[in-house]
Amino acid sequence: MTFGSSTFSNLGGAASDLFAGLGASEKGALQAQGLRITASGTRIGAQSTRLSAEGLRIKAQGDLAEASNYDIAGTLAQQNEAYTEQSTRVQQMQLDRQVTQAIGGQQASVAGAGFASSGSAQDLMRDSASQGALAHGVLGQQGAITEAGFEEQATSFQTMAAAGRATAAGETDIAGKTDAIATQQDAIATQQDQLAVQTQQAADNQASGDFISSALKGVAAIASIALAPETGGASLAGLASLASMGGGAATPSDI
Amino acid sequence: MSAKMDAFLTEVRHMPGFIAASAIDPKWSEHLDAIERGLTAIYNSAAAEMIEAFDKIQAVIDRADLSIKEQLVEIGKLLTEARAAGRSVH
Repeated sequence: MTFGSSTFSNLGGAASDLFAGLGASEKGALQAQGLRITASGTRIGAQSTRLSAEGLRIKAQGDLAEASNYDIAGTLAQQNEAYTEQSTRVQQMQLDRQVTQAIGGQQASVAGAGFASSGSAQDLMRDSASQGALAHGVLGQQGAITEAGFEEQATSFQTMAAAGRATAAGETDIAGKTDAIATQQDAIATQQDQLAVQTQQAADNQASGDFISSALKGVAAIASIALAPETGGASLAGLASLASMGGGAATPSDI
Repeated sequence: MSAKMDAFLTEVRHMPGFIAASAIDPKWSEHLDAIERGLTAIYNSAAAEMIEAFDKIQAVIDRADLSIKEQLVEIGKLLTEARAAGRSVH
């Protein structure tokens, strides 16, 4: 039996294709597995993003509750301001009444003692009236200061309530955008899974092609044995066509 | 694979020329194994081109008017077509 050089070169080629096929298959499987792991990671990332969005929504609810409390506090401060105004007015009226009564008492005492309402008696009554007016003014001023304090409180609470609502609105908006990102992450994970399937398919196709190439070289080599004179081979016509298959088939000269 | 294909490969394995060659070098058996793997790859493929190629290869094996060597030559042609079809599928 005689073998040509190309017959032996087929051996190396077939083995090479076999290893390429096995390698392509394993490489593709590993790549696909890697992509699937990446997809799982992306999905976990999406879940984390959703949790962040949920956290923002809960924080927004807390901010709204806080804003409501500030609203209540602001209303109470406004009511306190109004009560203070009324209370001051009542106290001034009571004070005025007391001053009037005191001066009236002084006038009665002066008259009862047979004195004229002049001189020292008049000075005394004038002083009482002056003290009364001063006390009235002090009461009014104190009331105004207290009112201003309550007004300042009310304004501050209103500002805090508005800030709370604005923060809650911002957080809700960001939560919505965060959810959108999570949805995109899920879409990317799906694409990664699809890519894994495609990678596996491509690797399988590559492996099939390599196995077929290996088989083709095997066919060419074994056909050359079958055509060898001692095996009774007679038809050499087919080898020419096999040689053109790219499998590096043996040629009649090999036999 | 199919019983028919297995029988054909067994027949090749028992060819005097193959027995003589594989006695000198075991790589000839590896060649036959490679043929079997290639045919299995075609058999396992779900691609329409591969299913058609496998059917054609079985038809070649069924042909009593062809010798084993002629059947091998025909199978080689069909393998070439199958490989080309597989590449176009990529």
